[in-house]
Amino acid sequence: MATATKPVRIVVAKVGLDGHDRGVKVVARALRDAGYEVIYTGLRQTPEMVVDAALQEDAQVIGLSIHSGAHMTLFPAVVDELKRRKATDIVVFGGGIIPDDDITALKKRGVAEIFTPGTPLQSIVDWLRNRFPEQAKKP
Amino acid sequence: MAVLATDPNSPFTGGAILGDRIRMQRHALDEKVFIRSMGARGHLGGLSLAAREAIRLLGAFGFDQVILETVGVGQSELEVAAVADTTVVVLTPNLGDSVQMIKAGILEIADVFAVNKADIDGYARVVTELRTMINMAPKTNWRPPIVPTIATRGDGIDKLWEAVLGHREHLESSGRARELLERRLRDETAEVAAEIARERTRRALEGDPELAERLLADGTPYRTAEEILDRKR
Amino acid sequence: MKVRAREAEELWKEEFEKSPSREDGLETSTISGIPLKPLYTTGDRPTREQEFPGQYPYTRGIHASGYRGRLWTMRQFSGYATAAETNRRYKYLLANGQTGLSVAFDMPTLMGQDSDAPTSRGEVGHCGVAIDSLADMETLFEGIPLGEITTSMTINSPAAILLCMYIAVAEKQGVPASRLGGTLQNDILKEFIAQKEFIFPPAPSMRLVVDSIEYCAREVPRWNTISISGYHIREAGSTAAQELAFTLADGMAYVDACLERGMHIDDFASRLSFFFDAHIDFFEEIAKFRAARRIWARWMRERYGAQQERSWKLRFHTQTAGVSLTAQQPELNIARTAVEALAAVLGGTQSLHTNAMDEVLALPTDRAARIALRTQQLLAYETGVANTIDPLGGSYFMESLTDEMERQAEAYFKRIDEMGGVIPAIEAGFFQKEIADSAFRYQKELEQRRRVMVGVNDFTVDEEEPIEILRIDPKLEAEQAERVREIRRKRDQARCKNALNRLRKAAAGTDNLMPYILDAVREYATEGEIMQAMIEVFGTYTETAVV
Repeated sequence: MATATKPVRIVVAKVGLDGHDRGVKVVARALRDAGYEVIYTGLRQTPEMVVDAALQEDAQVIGLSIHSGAHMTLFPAVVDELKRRKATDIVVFGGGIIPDDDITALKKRGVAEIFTPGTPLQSIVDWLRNRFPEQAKKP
Repeated sequence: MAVLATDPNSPFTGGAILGDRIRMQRHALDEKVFIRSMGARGHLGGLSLAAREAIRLLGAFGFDQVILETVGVGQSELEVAAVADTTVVVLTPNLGDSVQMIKAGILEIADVFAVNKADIDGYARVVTELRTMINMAPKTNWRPPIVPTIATRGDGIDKLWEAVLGHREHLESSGRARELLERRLRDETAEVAAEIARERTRRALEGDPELAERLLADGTPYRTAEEILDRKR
Repeated sequence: MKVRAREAEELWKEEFEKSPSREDGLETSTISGIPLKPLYTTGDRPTREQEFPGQYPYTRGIHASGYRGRLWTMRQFSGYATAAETNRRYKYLLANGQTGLSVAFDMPTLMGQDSDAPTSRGEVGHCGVAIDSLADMETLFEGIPLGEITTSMTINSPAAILLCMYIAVAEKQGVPASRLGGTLQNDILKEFIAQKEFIFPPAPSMRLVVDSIEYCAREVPRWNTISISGYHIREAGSTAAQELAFTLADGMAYVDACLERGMHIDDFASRLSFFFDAHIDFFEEIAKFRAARRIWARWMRERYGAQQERSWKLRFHTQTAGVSLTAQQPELNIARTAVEALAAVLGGTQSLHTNAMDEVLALPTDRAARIALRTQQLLAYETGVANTIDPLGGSYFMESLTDEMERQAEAYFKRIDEMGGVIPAIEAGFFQKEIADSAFRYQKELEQRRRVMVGVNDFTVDEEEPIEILRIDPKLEAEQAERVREIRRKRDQARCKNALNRLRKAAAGTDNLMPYILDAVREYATEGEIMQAMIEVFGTYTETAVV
């Protein structure tokens, strides 16, 4: 029964103060259905908490969700914390109500990808499959 | 303290949502607490196959205590009892199927019972049922204590920990600890051996089309297995 | 005659079966998944007696005169950046014909913390206005006569504090509390269920709600003490029936809590108000509003034994659905919002907020906010829809759908009852699971293109024209943090400290906390300090998340 390929592990977290967890939950379920191991950490995570969880969980990816408008502060803070903990191999992506200009700026700051409302779940999965092709072959 | 929390993976996609960290938010950023979520990854028994090794590794890192959380309980999820020194079975009054669970072998694996949600209706009934079950069981030199808890308020947690330590003392003084260690190492060795054999077999069949062909033609898995394992590595 | 009608129906059926059907693979059920027939006829009409507006059970509206007596209140929810900036926007909206104010607070304010708290970084003034102390509240309403307008405040965990600040500002304007009109959202149950902006555990949270209801019944009698909200439940992904059922179940939980306190049903019931979503599935939404009135009236009269008619009447505010808006081709959001607003009006809403087209990208610009308000004015003054009361009443389809909504809601009430009520159901994660399941089902339907979102999974364009959006100056955060530090330096420290100590002591007892909070507010204790005093007694809550 044990599968030969090791599932990619993704820490999924809501940073910031808002509690709108509809999107993050839908994405978590979709990633599970695509064969990923999703570690959901819940609401109001600080950048330190997210990075700590990713290290303890040996995650390859961090997925962040925010709807409060604090993305320009909190997303880069996660990237910086990863640098501080010498864990820059962990890939960060995010989603939420984020204007185009901010997306460009966030990518420059080291966030790998941003998904906005209306993104099909399949594009998130496709992006991850591209990034981690070893997972792409089904067990 | 380290916590290994296990959740099931989907048998179809292999994916999983591991959500146990959320319940331990209070210990996020607590340097003395290490939490690792594990997918069972198709392994039956309620734990991840890697759980035993993870425990050994955590021990080497200096964690004095490791809490193992299983995917839940049922007849096939009792592996925890073979892996852990002390098994705590948590019941709640509103589970409704408590009696059935006791029948399913829970009683045999429990070293300590915690009855959570002790403040709601049905608590007394569960305790009475448990007592009856314990009284009817064959006498051994350890009688599992029943500890009432109310997790949302933290009530009874001290008592529960005392009960766990009490069991630990019993293990040491009765010589049972040594027995357990020995049995565990033997079991694990057997399991590892089986895993190695499985892998060798898989590789042999992949690397030797002739053998695979013969297996298919003759339909003789036993003989083929012996032949593979007798081969020089 | 009857025979001929049946023949005609048979004939239609035959014709219908023979006709080719569209083969686009799209669902024909409502957006919530209620199966729909292609045609409704006399056979689908319930056999109940004719209903009239202003009469029990109010399916057709709570006023005999509908919108002929009075139009709905156009109440645009707004607030951003600092109190001074928002004050400017309020004056702009009032000058443009808006008839009531509605305050949006920023996340730190909603979560009961000050702008200089470490976890406030990046959040100050972003999704609403930053209020730290009475000083900010004074600025927010500077030059706006509180005795003449009504104000709605969307705040929950710290609701009691913000209401006290409002009362204190009015005092300074020379307006007595008894003349104040407005609405406090103050609905903590839906926070546990959907929006997740909770702070204290359920029991002390409910105590604060009941404290404010009890206090206002005496001191601020024109104030709607709670706005029991389905909006956030719906936006979190629920179906229309779930929104209806969970919201009314919350309402009953508040009624139970007030009765337990020893209040009489007719002393507070008429000050309970509701807040619903107007989603894009037009008829389903109207049915939901109609069913809500009927169910509430029946429960209030029959189960709770309310004697006064005003206790039976469900009054509600509506906001068009934020989740129905798209970041793609955002101008389309104007059309969506218009359709949703029409549903709210045909459903008989008492007040309405129409979303601005750019709200899916950021806070609305002045221009987008004006178009949203103009949409309501257009419905009210151009289209003629306000001339007839409950114009869809008696429609075979509408009456049947209204009954279906009611039936589904009652089934949920039964399940919630079996779980021991709303709070045990919250603790068991029941609502959260139901909502997450619905949200996931809908998303799957979109992915499989069994439902269409124009501009998202069909009718897309390759190049989007950028639209102008509102930016919050990042300097603002430091300035606001400095402002609250200055307030803490300038006030009378001894009096402030005493007020907070008295509050802490009262929190540990059973007194109504409102007078104590009001005292602390008057001494310029900050929101964060007042919350902290209560947290020391009540503790905080962590949910068992259900994915």
